[in-house]
Amino acid sequence: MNAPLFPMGLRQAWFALPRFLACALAVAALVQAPAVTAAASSKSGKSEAKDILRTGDARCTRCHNDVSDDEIEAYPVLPIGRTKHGTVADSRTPTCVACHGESETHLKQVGTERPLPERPYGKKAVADPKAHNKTCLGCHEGDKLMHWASGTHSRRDMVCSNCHQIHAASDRATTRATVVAMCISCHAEKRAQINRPYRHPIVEGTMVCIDCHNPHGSAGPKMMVKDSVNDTCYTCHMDYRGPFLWSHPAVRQDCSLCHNPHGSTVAGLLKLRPPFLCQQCHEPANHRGNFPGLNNAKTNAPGSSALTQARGCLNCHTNIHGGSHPANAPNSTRFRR
Amino acid sequence: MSRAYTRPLLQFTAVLVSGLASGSLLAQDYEKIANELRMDLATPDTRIDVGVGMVSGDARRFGAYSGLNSESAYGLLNLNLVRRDDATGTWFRLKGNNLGLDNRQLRLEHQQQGDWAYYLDTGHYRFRDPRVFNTGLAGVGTASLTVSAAAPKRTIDLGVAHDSFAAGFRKFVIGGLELRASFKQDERSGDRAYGQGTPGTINFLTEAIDRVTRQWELTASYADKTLQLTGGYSGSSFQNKLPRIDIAGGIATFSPTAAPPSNQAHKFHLSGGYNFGETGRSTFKLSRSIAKQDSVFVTPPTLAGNRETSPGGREVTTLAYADLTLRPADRLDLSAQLRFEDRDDQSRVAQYLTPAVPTATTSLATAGITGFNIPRSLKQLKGMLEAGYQLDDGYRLVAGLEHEQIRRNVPFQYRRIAYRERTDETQARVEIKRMLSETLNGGLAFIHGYRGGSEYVPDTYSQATNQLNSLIWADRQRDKLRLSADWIPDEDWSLQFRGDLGSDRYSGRNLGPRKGDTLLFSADAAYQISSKWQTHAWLSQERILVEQATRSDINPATVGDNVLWQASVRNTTTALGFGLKGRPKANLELGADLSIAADAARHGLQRTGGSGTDALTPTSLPDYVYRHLTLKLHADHALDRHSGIRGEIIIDRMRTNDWTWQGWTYSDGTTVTLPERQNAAFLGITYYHRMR
Repeated sequence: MNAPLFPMGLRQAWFALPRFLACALAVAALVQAPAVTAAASSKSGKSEAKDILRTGDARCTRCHNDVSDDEIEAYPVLPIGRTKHGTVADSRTPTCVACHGESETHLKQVGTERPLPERPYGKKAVADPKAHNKTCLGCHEGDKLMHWASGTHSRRDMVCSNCHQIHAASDRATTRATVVAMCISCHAEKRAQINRPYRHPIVEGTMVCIDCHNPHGSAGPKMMVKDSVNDTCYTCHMDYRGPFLWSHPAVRQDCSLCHNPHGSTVAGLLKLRPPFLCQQCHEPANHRGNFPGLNNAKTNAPGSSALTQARGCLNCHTNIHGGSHPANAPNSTRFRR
Repeated sequence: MSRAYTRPLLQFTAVLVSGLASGSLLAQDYEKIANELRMDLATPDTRIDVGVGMVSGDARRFGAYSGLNSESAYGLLNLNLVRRDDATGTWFRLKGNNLGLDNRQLRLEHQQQGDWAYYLDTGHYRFRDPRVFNTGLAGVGTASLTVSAAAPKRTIDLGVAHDSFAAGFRKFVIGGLELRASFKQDERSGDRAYGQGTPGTINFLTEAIDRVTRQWELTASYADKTLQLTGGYSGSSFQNKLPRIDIAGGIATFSPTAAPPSNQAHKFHLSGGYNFGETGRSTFKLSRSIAKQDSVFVTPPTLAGNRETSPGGREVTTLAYADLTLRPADRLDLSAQLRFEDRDDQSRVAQYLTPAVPTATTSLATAGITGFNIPRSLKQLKGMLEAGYQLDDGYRLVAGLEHEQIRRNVPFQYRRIAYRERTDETQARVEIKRMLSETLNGGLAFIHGYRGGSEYVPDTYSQATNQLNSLIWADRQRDKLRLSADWIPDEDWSLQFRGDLGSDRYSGRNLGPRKGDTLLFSADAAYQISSKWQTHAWLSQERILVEQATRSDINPATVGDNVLWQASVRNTTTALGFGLKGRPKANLELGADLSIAADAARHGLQRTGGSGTDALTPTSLPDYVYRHLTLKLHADHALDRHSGIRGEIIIDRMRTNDWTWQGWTYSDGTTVTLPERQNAAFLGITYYHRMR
């Protein structure tokens, strides 16, 4: 744990290597090129700028060219060329002005402050999010974005660029390695939940938010990717779909009545430890209202650890999601075999 | 923006700048190299990461899903091969993640953008149960188990491996029409913890897993500026190759036990959207699905004369959804939704079990009272109206109304809880937002809801019951207050605050949940220290209180022998984090992320009445504590324009007093140990190479 990041010798070599390369390049340039003093003039020669990505983009890329200007490097523009938006052979892909507008005032700066482009997509709030999103929706309105307009994110005035980074080579909202961090930056309570001891493999990236939720809205509740919470869970947990001879009504209604899929401190991602969870619905006849304890008995009497420890109520009611086993005692109707 | 793509170039840029400053480069040389850099930035490239990782310490939890769960060295290999033919817009991608680990994935994509595409995807991950099982159970790994308290004990590890395969194809045909086909299969194998129990005997078992799920879909989509349509068919199946568990030596009447039976579902769907000019849109979805469960019973029905060989399970689900969003005036937005879902359980109803007269003293020991299976149907109707109006001075007012009605079928004879056939919940929401400036936003929302329903249909088991508000359908008043603020004072600072206060109050019946309170606040801050360093920090706390009451009743025949008791379960989760990321040199990136979370649960139990003896007074359970700390450090050193070395250290510490298994011994002598502490560390070093 406390080991150095690199063994010292290797570390020094690694750090020295780029310096060596940089020096070598500089020396090579010095040897090969006669000294000139007008080099900077090439930087100011923006009027000679040529298109970089597609026809007509010099209008923007003469300044937004990512190479030497620190300010511009903070909002890299050119990596859009690596994305689907930068695939020029696809006639549907947009030009700069198609998304940002003609932005004449931005181009023809008057005064000391340069006005923003006609349609900027920065961190700052926009006055009319719905109008702002029209630019993207002009192309992306069907399929998985079909229900965007009525989805929760749209109704809460979110704009596409709150999540998406259109110019990035790898959009954090569509990249499995980064999408979870993005979602939990707003859904703060999930940050701790996904690290709880009983959880889905979210931290590892095996399962991510957009596997279950469609942030662009859906016909299901909670923006689930399928038409209901249960249908979404069944895509992996098809074991519990049934329909069984004897089904647990809560299971049929909504898996999230009992489970917190984002993580739990109780085994099985349960919302509460049994028997408290089960006693939220079950009448107190017989053992069902008995209080938990740690008396180490294997009975269902008051204070019994069998109600509380190991799998709690599920120690006996093992097939709690339902069963289709037409066998008598101990009966199947109570999910015991 | 992922700076990883630009970082290697920056080192080169530094050389250029220094060259220019010293006058050592010609202008045309500068432009030539700069243009090359621009092409690097704008052209898809391939990246390969190869390295080695080492884990030290107890990492059973840390590596439960990744395979990094024991002290060992691991190969690290990531691959992202990307090629694009710019002339045709044809992409080829081969992406492999964690190829040296348990949670590996490999995906191949080939497409001509805007014309056709196909992909193949294969993945594997294995969940390794961090618990240690010491048992004498024989037959682990099979569906034929032998329980024996006398058998010598040994330690076994449990886990389930997932092997997935997926493939898909899409093709744009004329006029905005697109066709798609996809298939996905997930094979699971392994063992997981299971059990069997009856009062007095609780045995440990394992459930052997050998299951396959498959999903397939065929869709056609059409899209133009005004109309979008998607329709098609999707199907899925679940196959359990081990539906029967035979258990020798355990509770005799529990063998065989049934594992989840195979099932399948088929669905047809159509959804669409239509734009009414610039200011209105309406969408809809219609679907109908049939789920079937008709696999052969593991044993014939108990009731003599019933010759059914399978359950004949059949559920037909119909969904109808429509919404409308409008902007009838410049300042007014309207939104309406209507959703109807009918899950109609049409399973064959038959008498499978020996009927028994439901008396207070005999019914528990017998089968199922009527012996008939019980289909469960559900209808949900939900409607929503919302309006947003832009007031003067940057204020925006949003008001909404929601109503949800749920109707369930109520079993005619055999009921173990009091039912409600119908529940209605209405919720009103008012929110005021203010855009205080271009950089400051704030909102305050209040939500009030009430749920009621039809008369309770009593439990048929015992007259002593019928007193409980089931959480699912209890009368409930819900109030929420939500405060949010986003402030971006300048380009360097970004601050966010969220606060939620929620209250549920249950009424109508004496027992069951009585109240639930939630409090959540979170604060986030991000700061750009300099052009080279940025930092962020966050703090959040969530408190949940659940208060519920019930009654212990050892003998239902003697209603008076009971103890009324109440539980106040309080869960508190506190989390904080800090991150720092910087680029002290053009070719070096450093980063650190620290997150700390603490969960605590208290189970306040108290007797509130009843006639039971003092011996039946509950005592509170121990508090539960779980603390988790993760520190991640990384350094990324670019060696040249195309390659670099990345080092990563993860320190993962966990501590808990989880008493779920402490002191617990199964009747067969099995014990289970949950690691109460974990100090795991991971050190990884990878070399990466990029190429166009």
